[in-house]
This record gives sequence, C-alpha cells and structure tokens, in this order.
Amino acid sequence: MNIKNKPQAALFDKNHKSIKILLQFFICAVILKFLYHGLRILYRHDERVKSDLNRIDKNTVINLSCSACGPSLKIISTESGIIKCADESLLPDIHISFKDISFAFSVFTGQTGIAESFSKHMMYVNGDFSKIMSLVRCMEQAERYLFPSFITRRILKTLMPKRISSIRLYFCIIRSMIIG
Amino acid sequence: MTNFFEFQSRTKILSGRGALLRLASEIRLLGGNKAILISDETLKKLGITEKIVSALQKENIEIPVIFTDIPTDSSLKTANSIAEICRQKNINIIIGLGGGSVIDTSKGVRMILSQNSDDILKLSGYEGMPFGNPIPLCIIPTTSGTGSEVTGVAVIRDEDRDIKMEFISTNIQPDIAVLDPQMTQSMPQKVTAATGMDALCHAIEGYTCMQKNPLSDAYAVTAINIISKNLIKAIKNGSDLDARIEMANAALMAGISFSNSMVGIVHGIGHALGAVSRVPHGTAMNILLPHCMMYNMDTCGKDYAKLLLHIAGPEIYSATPQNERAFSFVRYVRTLSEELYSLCGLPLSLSGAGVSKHDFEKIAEISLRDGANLVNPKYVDKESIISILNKAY
Repeated sequence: MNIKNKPQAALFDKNHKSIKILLQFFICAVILKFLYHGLRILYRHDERVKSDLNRIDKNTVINLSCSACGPSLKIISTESGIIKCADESLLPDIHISFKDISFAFSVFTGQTGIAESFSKHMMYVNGDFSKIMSLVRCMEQAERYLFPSFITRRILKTLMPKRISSIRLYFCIIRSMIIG
Repeated sequence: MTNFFEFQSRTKILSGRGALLRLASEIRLLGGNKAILISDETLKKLGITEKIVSALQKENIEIPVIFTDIPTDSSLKTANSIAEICRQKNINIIIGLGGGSVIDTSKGVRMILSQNSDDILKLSGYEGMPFGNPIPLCIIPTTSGTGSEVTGVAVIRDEDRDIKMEFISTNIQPDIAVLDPQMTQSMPQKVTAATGMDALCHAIEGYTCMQKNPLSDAYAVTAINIISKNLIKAIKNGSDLDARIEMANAALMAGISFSNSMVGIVHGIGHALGAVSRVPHGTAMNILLPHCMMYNMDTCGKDYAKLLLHIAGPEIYSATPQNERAFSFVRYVRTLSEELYSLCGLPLSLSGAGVSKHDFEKIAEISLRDGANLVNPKYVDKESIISILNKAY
C-alpha cells in the first residue's frame, strides 16, 4: 500500500470496525432476547433451571449487560420465574457486565463458555455471589439447549440431558417473542 | 493452559526474623499515624496484641482502637460496626493481627471505608469494585495457611443466612504483609497442621483451576515443595523458627497463586461445610482434598502427575510410571493427612469432625451457590457434592 492511500485505508478500517461493532451489538441484543424467552420457557420445562431460578430471592433485580454502553437485559425474579423489568429507575441487585461487547459476542455465539469467560476475566459482577451462581448455572443450562452439540461439547464442562428438544425450545421462543 | 491471563500481587512482603521491627517505618511511609488494631481474644490473652501496640506507640503511632471481638469465620455485622468505629475515630491505617477471620474482617473494614459504604453486603461481587479511596491495610498473620495477607479475596460469614459471602477484587489486597516467625511460634500443633493443609490445598487448587496461568503455577509448585519439607517439622517442633518462616512463606505463595487462579471444588464444598457444620476451614480442606482430587482426576490428572515431582522429589517421581503419577500424588496427600492425624489428631473424616449426615443436603445446596465451583475444571452438581461428602464421611 502506498502512502497516498493510507488515509483512505485508515478510514476503511475505521468503518469496517464500526460495522463490526454494530453487527455485534445487534446480534447480542437479539440473543439477549432469545436468552430471556429461553429461560422463561425452560423454567416450565426443565426442573433444574426452575430450582436454580427459585434459589434467587424474589424481587431480585438482575441486569445483564453486554458492555458499559451495550445492549442489556433487566429482569426481576418472581414466584413464577423471571419477568422483564420495565422500571428503568430500579437499581439492580445483581449486575453482570462484560468488559467489552466482543466478549459478550464471543459468549453469546458459543465461542467461549460462561465459566471460561469468568476465568478469562471477560466480565465483572456486582451483587450477592450466591445468587449470581444460580443465574450462571441457568445460563449454562440454556446454552446446552440453544447451541448445537458440537459447540456445547467444547464450551460446557458436561452435557446435561435435555428435558425438551432444542427445536421445540426454539419454536416456543419464537412464538413467545411474537406473541410477547 | 489459558492463552490470556491477568496477574496481580501488589502487597509488599516483609518476611523473616525481625520483620515486625520494620512495621512502624512502613506505616509511616504509607502515611498512617492513627491506627486500629484488629485481632482476636486469644492473641489478646497471650499478650501479643499488647506487644504490637507498645512497639508501635514507641514509634509515635497512635492506636486509639483495639478490636478483638472477632467471631470465627468473621461476620458482616462485625465488619460494618468496626468500619463505623474507624470513621468516628478518624483512623487512617488498619492493622490486622491474627488468622483468616481477623484478616478477612480487616479487609472487609477496608472495603467499606475505601468505597465509602455503610454496608459491606452492597460490595459483594467479582472484580466489580472500583479502586475507591483506599485506606492502607497492614496484615500480620499468626497462622500459616490462609494466605489472606496477600489475596484479593475475603470470605465473610453472613450470619443471618448461614452462608459465607465472597468478595473478590484486586483492590482489596493488603498493602503490607509482615511474616515474622515469632508470630506463628505459639501456634498449637493441630492449628499448624490444619492451616498447613489449607495452604497445600490452595497450592493444589491454584495449580489446577480454570484460571491458572504460568505465574500462579510458579508460586503453587514452590509452595507445595516447601510445605512437603516443612509442615511435619513445624508440627513436631513448634519452636523451629526456620520451619515456621518457611511455612509462612509457603502459605503466602499459595495465597498469591490462588488469588490469581482461584480455587475449586474443595473450597466450594469446604465453605458450605464451615457455614453449616462449623468445621474449621483447614480441617475441612484436609478431609475433602483427597476425595475432591479423585473427583477431578479425569480433568486434572496430568497436573496432579506433575505435582508429584514437587511433593515427593525427583527420585520418586522418576521411579513412578507415568500413568501412576497422578494417583501416587493423591496417595502422598492422603499419607500426609494420616501422619497429621497420628501427630495431632487432625480429623480424617467428616464423622470424625462431628458432621451429621443430615446436613449433607443443606451443605450441597449452599455449595452449589459457591463461586469456587464455577471455576473448578470439572462440572459440579448437587449429586457429585453429596457423593463426595458420603465418601469423606
């Protein structure tokens, strides 16, 4: 590349990067929605997810954020699992945040497991660790359903038996997202 | 082996005979002149707190508060109330003198003050605590096991819920750790044994956990090497100051290792065992360690095999067939535990430690929520915890 083309190359690189970040942002936002509906459905069909979510005290506000300014999911634990938290003013009791959107993207696309992301310092957590662990276990169980086996074999320490088929879960999630 | 790692150890270490003589000048360098001494009743009765206070007062360091009412496993309420006292008295340096409970309480007080908080519960979490406005913290350990004098971890009991809360942040690492053999010389045999096994457990888990890295490995293997040579010596002859300081160094190194690589299932279950059945931490580690190593064998076998070299020495390592080294390492740990039992009666089983089988369900339930199980290399579920508890009974 000659010197004359350098500013153009830098501009292309910059645009390329921002497109990549936008794409990651969009995908993470979609997967967060998927995860939310997935956990709600698994609460009804998988007793392990149910018991883990039930371990979290009722009315605990949980915020899962893909980065400091990235997409996030704010939920409240209730008697019957979790619901979305509509009240923006409510401060979270548990806040889990990835340090960079690319780390969230890596976890949400099955390149990195949840436990590995902890061990690689990809996220930080504020709040009661015992409740966080219950949530993390639920997320690991959701991964088991949401990703194909060739991915889960790599990112999960064990392959827990499924209680419903992944296809059925996907169908239920899409229906739940449409119906609301 | 991980391809990315973080490592931090910011504590200045003063180790060896006469280390305590240097404490006053270090406190002054940190800008402190009005200290709180956090310790326990036993050390107060032994006159050790008084010695420290008079030594520091001679150097014009004021100590308006001496707090010695620290419960076993510490407590959130105690940390909150000490922090309030520190605010009222305008304390500008914290000195923690004691074992794990005292050190973790001191860290808790520092957390509350540096984050300008009114309740330590609000600060729970993992790496999410900002730097804040830290008040200097000096630690003088009187046991050789927890390694808490250098770690970024504090475990404090929530007495209302009967669980041990974890606080993990590099921002809670103490500023100064003073390892003086005088301080551990009076440690009873059984406590020496239990805390020594705690240090060994830190080193083994530090070497095998998911967050392990080349630096934490280096500290872990050195710690194992030192413990294998000095633990029995320190138990047999408590006045052996060389063995005492070696054990203090080993515990500290194991602490640096696990502070950066985390601990796994042994601590995951051990914390719950302490919270529910009140088994002292070191005793719980001693009982659970071999059983948990067997549980992790299929994922950690290669690492255990390497550790045989550091616990048994090169002759035995090279004479042991490769496929037997991992099991041989576990046998070495078992043999060490048995020797400790015959020397000072350190329990080898949960029944010997007074644990009731009726508590297993509760222990497993609490253990599942422990962060240590997340970074254990092998998946941990309730059934596996109960199975380990039954084997250890």
